[in-house]
Amino acid sequence: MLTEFIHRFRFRIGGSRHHALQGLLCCAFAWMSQESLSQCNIHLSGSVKDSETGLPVSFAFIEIQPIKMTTVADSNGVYHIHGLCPGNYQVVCTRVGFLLSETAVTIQNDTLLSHHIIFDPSFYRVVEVESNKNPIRIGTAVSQLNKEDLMKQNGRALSDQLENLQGVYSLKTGSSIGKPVIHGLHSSRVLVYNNGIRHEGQQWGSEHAPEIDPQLAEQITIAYGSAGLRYGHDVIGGVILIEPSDIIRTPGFQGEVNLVGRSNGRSGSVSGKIEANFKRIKSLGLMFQGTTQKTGNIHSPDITLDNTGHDNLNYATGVHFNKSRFGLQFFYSIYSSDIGIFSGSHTGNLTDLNNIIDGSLQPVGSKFTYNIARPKQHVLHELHKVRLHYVTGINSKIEVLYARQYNLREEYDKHIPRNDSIAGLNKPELKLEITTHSTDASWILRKGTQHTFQIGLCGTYQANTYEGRYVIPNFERYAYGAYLFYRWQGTKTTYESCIRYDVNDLMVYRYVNQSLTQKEHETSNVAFAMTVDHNISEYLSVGMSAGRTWRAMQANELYSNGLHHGAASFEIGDSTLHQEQSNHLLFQFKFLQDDIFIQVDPFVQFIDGYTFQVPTSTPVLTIRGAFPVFAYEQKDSWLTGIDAQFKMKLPQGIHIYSSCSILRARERETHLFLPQMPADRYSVRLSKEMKDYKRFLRTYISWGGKYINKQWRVDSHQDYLPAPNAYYVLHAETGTTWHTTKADILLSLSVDNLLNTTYRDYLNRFRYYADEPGRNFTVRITYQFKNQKNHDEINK
Amino acid sequence: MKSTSNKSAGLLLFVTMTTTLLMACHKDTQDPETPQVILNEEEVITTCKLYFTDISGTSTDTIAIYRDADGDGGNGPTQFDTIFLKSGTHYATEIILLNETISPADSISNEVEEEGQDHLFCFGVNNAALNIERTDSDGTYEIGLHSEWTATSASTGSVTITLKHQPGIKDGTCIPGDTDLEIQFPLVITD
Repeated sequence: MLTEFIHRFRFRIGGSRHHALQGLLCCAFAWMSQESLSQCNIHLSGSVKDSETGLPVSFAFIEIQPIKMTTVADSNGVYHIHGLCPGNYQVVCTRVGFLLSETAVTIQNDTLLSHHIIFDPSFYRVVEVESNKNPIRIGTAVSQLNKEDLMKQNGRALSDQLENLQGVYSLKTGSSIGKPVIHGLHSSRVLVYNNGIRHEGQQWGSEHAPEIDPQLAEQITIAYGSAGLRYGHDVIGGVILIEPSDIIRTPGFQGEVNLVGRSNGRSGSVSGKIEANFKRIKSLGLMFQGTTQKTGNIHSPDITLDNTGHDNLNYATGVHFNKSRFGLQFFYSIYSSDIGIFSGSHTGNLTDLNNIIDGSLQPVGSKFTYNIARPKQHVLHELHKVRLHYVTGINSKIEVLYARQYNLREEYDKHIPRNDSIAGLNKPELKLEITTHSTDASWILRKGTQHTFQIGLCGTYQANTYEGRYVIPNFERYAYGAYLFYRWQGTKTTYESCIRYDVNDLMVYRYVNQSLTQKEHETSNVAFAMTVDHNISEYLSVGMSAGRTWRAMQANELYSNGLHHGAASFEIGDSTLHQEQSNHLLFQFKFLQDDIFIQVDPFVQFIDGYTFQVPTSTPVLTIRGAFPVFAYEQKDSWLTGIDAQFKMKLPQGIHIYSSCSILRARERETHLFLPQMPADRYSVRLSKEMKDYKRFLRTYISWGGKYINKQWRVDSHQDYLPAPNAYYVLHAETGTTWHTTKADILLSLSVDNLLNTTYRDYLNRFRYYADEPGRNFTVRITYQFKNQKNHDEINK
Repeated sequence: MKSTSNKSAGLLLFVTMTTTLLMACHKDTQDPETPQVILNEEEVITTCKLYFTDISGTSTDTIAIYRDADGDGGNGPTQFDTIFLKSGTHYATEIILLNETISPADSISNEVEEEGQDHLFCFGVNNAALNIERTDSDGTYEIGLHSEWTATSASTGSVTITLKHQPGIKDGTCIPGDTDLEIQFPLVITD
């Protein structure tokens, strides 16, 4: 039980499979050795702790030299050895991911030992070589959701899952489209890495959710601000790393089936994954995964919202081929989604919008249906990936990656054409296609136990085309860059730094006065970042992350010009905008003593040329009426805030967890507030873990709530309406695992918006039109199965 | 033996399936360097013409035009007339909507008439002594392409003409539906 508690505290990269296997093996040895030495009766016990965090380390392997007696520490890091004879011994403590620790001890009578073991930096190398995971270090300015966290969120949208991380919010368009916001920044300021590949979709639009199936993820890591510089020069808000699990490497197969049912929207989702590794070709691993989801109209506490359903069909397949030094991986995935847009949100012009806002045009409640009518979006994202690595020496590795991504977005207006024959074609009013080829090569070199270097080169070619209405022009983009990364790992201090140089070349093709013109926008710059983590004492550690990043302007910021249909606004780009530069500084203070954990992360960010839509004073007049004009402008700005967490373990398996995230953002010159910034958020959760009962393990109940303050910090001219009021929503959940040797069945039931509260959120673009969804019950069933030979048989 | 062959069959199936999926590849059919020629939306309305025919025989016919030749966005309207009417006069008014981005210009008002059951013109008079009544019908409700305007006394104000698109939801009122067109013409009624 404590282990789970610990796992939430310390986010170490570690495969639970390794522990379990090692544990099994070691138990067997320990039992044998105890039998043969029963004549002496001294009792030795000890506890194993991480020297860095002071937290117990589970399942360490303990060997007593020279008598070769062995045991394994339990999940709380505690071990016991009975039957020692008096004498001098060496206690050797080993654990995957930590340096070997030897303790000389003279034993006369019962003894209690304490081992502080040091995290092994070379473990990164092992991880890097053996898996396709991104070698990011979990420390300052980095936080993570692990498999267990993700399982509890199964069936929810990616951005909703990420909201569980501190400082991360979700910018929504209705209930089905959400994109993650890190410390107030989103879209092109937040990089998304899916399966080691920079995700390239229509990232610029706030109503475009990342086209990624969260079911594939085994862990999701976020690096705030410049801490993720290795992944791109434009990590102004940060980077989100979504990583699937490795394909099994031992003969056999394993898989899982997930069923999720949700009451609101009568949503059902089925997903499954199977992995196989064959006895004859041990180096070959195969994986197939698929998800399908259907959701009907969502209801708010008062009405059913018309046309708010969505459908999803995603699948992925992977082939891994691994020899001792050489590895080759193929991965293919496709994501396809049809999303209904709440029909009451599509407004013809400002008069219509005002009628909705002042209540004279109330959205009519509709009946429940799974049908998706106009307005709607159709989205498709396809990824091909090839990754090759070669271990060049005991401490170095070369890795080459190529990926092709194709992204299609079709937007259908509510309005069907008046002409029946055109309407009959049912064509989207807007179609955007973006194809991206990217390559990445890196060389990782480790020197001694303390130094790690990484040198990387990356290049991208991207082409965008549109059909139908003009929103952004056709463009081609060439981007290339080089980076150098260095990590120094001492016993108490870790230092990391990265410097990179990138060039971004955007070629825009469009018609000016009927003639085709070509315009080039070339931008380049240097970016750098550093992070330091230091353990002051067993209980206290501090960290700092600082850096400078930049971002090239996107096609929409430079060239959008036209009506944003459905949103009743007229958007104007500015082709003279220059690059945006950010200076980021974050501190982290962590305190851990016994059952109390406190973490505080204050940060500040100065962005020169922060680009956003500023409402202009005169509306534009069209035959459809008047529209407010939003023009892209650049203002030097600052953002500052604090994230804090408090965790406490009470007796009887009760845990308290609370957190808060606060953000302030203003223009530097005028001190005006920046629009669309998240309001202050506070949350509390109380959970109780039950004792294991027969085959039922990890049974828990939890209750929680979050309070979102009203966003007071907006300037009235920026918006049609004042920000919605503060609200709180409650949540409850219970779950258990039915465990057998061959399979596990995980069951959980949760309720969102327990009190059926009526509320609206400032970060939802549909706050003008409709309330947030009402109470929702979710049932999740996961069946995990495995048919694998154990290690002994394989080694034979 | 049997299990081995089963396994081989499984392997074959898996490999076939995987390669098939890997072969799938969506392509962009467009070339980024030659963007589509700018087509205004097929049914863009660039021009709204109001023909006023004097039916009381006391005055002259008149016309008022709103024209935004390049459609929404780009340049503003190239012609935006004030409506001049005579007091004490009844006018039979016809609204003509055109798409002048194509040649010959496409009459949108004909389409509106064909789909009269989905459309409704609404008239709002501000600060002027003017009465407007629709005179045409889709069979159940009025449309408003044809209307009768009665100017009672000299005054200055404006008249807002709105075309609502109400597919399947037309109820004779101006509340449901989306706005296809909304123009506020200045209005002068003289003695």
